[in-house]
Amino acid sequence: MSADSPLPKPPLAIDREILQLFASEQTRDSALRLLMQHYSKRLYWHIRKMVIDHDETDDLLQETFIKAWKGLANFRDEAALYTWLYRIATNNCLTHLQKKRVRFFLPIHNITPELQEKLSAATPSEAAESIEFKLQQAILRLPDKQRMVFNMRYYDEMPYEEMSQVLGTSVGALKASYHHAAKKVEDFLKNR
Amino acid sequence: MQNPLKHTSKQLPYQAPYGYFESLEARTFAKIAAKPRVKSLWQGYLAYAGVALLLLVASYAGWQSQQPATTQDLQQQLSQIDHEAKADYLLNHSDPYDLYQLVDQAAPLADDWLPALEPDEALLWLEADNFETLMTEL
Repeated sequence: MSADSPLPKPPLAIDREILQLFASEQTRDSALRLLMQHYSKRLYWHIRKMVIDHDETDDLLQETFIKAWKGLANFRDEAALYTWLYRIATNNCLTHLQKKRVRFFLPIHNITPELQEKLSAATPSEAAESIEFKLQQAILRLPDKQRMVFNMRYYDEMPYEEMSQVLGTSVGALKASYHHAAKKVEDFLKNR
Repeated sequence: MQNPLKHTSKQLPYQAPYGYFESLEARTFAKIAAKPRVKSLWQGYLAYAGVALLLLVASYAGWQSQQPATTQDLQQQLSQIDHEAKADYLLNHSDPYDLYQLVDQAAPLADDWLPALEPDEALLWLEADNFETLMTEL
């Protein structure tokens, strides 16, 4: 079993360096390399916890970096690079999950069984009875946004203020959302 | 269990494939490099589609120009040419059905039997000995 999260937030100096490198055409590749070195793992696990499947995560993560590559040249808000990247990844995830719910223009409301199957397929058999696996099963029952809030708070230990910047939701609403999510997860685990 | 979340490690039950993060950088750069090519491929496809459309329009126009004249056209053209030329025109006309229609409209004497014939048969009849009779009616 592996847990690459919570990972420490990259120092602000790194973000500044990334932006400086991006400002010049000649050093953009170096900037992207630096960005990936510092954010790959954080963003990978952020996405992976939402879509579960590794290949889908890989696609979404690369898409996140490509969007950053395109938009970063004009990005000036140094303090927000970290939350900006998180926001791109988050939006990619939510859009991806939303698309999964629609087949032939018809909405399919429940993709939880598919995610549960992917969770079982991704989990080694020796971990199938572990509390970590059951916790994941419980989390997958939550609605997407509540699941996102739960993951960011519980696994990434992200402060509510930063979550608010990423998700564009008030701190109060995020606290309430986390509280409801945690309650549902606890109930599920207690009744197993 | 009082509060399962407080007694659960924050590990995940699954892993990233071995060596994944090491190869991510190269694959992402490859994807970025591939994007403009995909765009130019699409532009290429659009250009091909445009040329194909032009060819299609041109060949349709050519095909239309080779189509036999309608019954109305035939009547108009026949009215402008002499008796002998009418005969040549009718015999060389390529569409039996139009000819059938023309004969049906222009030759009251054939009213009794012509509707019973298929266009091909009507053309054969015209090419045989009744042709001269019909010509006088036209």
